[in-house]
Amino acid sequence: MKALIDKIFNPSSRVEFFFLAIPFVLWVYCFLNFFTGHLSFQADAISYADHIGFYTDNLSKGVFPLWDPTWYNGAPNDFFLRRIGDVNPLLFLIVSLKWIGVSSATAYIIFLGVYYFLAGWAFYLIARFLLADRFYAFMAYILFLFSSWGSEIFYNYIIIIFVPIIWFFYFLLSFSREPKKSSFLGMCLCVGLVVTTYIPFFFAIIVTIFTFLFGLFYGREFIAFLKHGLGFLGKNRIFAALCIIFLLASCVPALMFYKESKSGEFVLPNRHSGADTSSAVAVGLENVSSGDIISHGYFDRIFDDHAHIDMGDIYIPYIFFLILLAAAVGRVNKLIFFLLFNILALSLITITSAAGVHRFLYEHIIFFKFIRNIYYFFWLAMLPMVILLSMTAFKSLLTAIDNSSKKTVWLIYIMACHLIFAVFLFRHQGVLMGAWAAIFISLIYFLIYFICEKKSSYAAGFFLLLLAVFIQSVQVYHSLDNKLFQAERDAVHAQQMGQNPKKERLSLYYVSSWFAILVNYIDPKVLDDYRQHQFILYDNVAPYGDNPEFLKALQASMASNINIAFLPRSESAPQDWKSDQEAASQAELDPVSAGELSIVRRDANTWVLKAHLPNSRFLVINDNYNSGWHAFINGHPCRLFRANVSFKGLWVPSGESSIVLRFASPQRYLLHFALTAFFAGIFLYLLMLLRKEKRLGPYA
Amino acid sequence: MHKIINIIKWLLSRVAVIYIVVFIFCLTCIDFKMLDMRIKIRHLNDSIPDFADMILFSKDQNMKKEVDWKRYENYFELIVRYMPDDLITRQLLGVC
Repeated sequence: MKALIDKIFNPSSRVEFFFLAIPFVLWVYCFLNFFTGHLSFQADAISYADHIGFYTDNLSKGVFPLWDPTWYNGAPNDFFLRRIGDVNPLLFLIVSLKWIGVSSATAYIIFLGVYYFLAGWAFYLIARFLLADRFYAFMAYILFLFSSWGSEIFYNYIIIIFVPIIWFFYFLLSFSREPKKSSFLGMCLCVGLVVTTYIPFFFAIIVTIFTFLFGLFYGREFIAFLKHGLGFLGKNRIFAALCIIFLLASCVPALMFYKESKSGEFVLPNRHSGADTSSAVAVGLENVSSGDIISHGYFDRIFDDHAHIDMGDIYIPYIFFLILLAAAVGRVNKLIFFLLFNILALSLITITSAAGVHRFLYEHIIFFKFIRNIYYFFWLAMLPMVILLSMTAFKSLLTAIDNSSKKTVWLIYIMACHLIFAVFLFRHQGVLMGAWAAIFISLIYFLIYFICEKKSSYAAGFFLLLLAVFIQSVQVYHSLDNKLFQAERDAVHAQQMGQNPKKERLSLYYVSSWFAILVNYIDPKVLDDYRQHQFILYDNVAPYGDNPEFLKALQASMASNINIAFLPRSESAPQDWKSDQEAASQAELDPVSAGELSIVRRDANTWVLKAHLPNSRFLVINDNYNSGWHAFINGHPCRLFRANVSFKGLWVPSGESSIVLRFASPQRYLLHFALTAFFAGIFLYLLMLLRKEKRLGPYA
Repeated sequence: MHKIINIIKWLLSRVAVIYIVVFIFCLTCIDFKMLDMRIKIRHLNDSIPDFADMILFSKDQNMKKEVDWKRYENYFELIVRYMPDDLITRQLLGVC
């Protein structure tokens, strides 16, 4: 047993998995209700789970979903693909799990857990690199793991971009120490993953500030880094050129999406209002303020009322604050200043209107117009950096204690810090028992540190500080569970009591521009009833102009099922219109039951139909129109119209016809499949290179 | 004097100096008036109660007996606290 403990806690030991796995299992225990499915995702995490589920379901069937027929009556899926980062090779984990029979929900939650573990692992490696000691790296890892970053993965989506961002910094540090192909490729892969999402700007800002401050604080090292980097590129020209080609290729989806966002075919009304750029994903300045760090009470429960902690509230185990307090007398160093100035620079941006910096950047730098939830900087950089800062200070404190001969003075000082913190907490309301226990355990740790020999206190530190962090966190997250269970019970109760029975207009987030018009101007019940019919066959087709009265006529037509389909005058010609006086007054609402139409095959991007009509009729498919859709009848391209403002419509000839509707061009699918394969290939090659080099976390 | 300089030197070489940096940063870079206003607005928005009960009570005091006045009290207290000198607020709330 002693030999095992010696082996594990020996600073030169390679049994590092132990350090990472145990806290992670404890963390899973804290969120067990999410992992077992007793609690459901919250806020933005819901739609991300849905979109990743939709994407991986389709991918499992060999379909690359560029259209989402379930989203507000159909919408281009590129927006969601950019949100989830469709080329991420780790998404294949979900596909593989589904393939072996794991349910979609379980596969997704496993993916989230693995993804978060990857974030923690990278953070550990960075901390180990900077602090050159497993103990402080472990402390940084558990503070990060048990902070409310862990609850964020069930609440929003930033984990999707956080993992590539944090691994980028790990590879950057590795590269700065020793330029190697694996580090360079790792950086390129991470940048590639970030730029395929629609929010690469967080990364761009963090890296810009980091680089600027690195140059300022570590001028000599910065020049040496550039020299080594250029030397590496010079030696590995072909490899570097391939990496650059990879990076350029990874920009293609985002650029295509940017172009699409200016087409006007989809809108994001809540996000776009007040924006002065034509792209639909641009954000108005007022909207940015509603997503900054002071817009919600994220910090309200940082020291009190943990019994009522909510999703989104910031929580950091109290050991972190205790360390920051006690470490005040440790010797300051350049790394602490470097991290501090990074945090301060980012905080100037995240408080938006409370400092002039954000407005200036918004007005002068184009990509600031695309960032809404600016408080994400806190999760993506500020929190990890502040944990690293505190651990650097902690190391400095323990070094000062080790080098001092006045151990008793230090012991009194440490006890006084614990007492001050306890008094400080005592003045706050609703401090849970776990917090007091954490302070007590921390005190025991320091007593052992002063009394016992270094080897014993080193081993005890791992155990006691993990215990302190865990005891407090498990109680905090138990309170969070209780709150979420109560909210779910309240929602069920409200539903059972029949509250909100009134049919309300849909709240629009991302939607086809034309469908948005229908939602805003057509009675919700009429529109809902109309949409119940997947196909409608009309005998008459009439044009309409930009007349506000038209929407009233359309509503009446939809409500009474009048046998006229409407086409925009500007997008059709007289030969496309038809008026048949002999035709029935009502349109055919169920051509499938009537035997006039049958669905041969359907997936996210395709409709294959068979029609058997006695005479030529106009078919309206109540799935939204988009200019990316192409129609073919009996193998020949034919004109697809935007019918009844928002839907697909086409003329079907009499007799037997085979109708095929397909979204986007074959080249587009080829591009997406190729990029996905390209990323997967690069990922596998990186793993191979890392295995070959057999080293993941060099010390500083 | 020499002792004070030494103390300052010692202080500047300690981690505590980051608290001084943060303090100076806050004083020079942050618009506290705006920050205060933003936080007040958030608190007010967070505590807006559903006024339906109060309106019903004002129309017919027997109609809705169980009104949770605490929520209204909290809300109006915040308004008075945030705008103590605003005459219209005071008149509306019957403070003066």
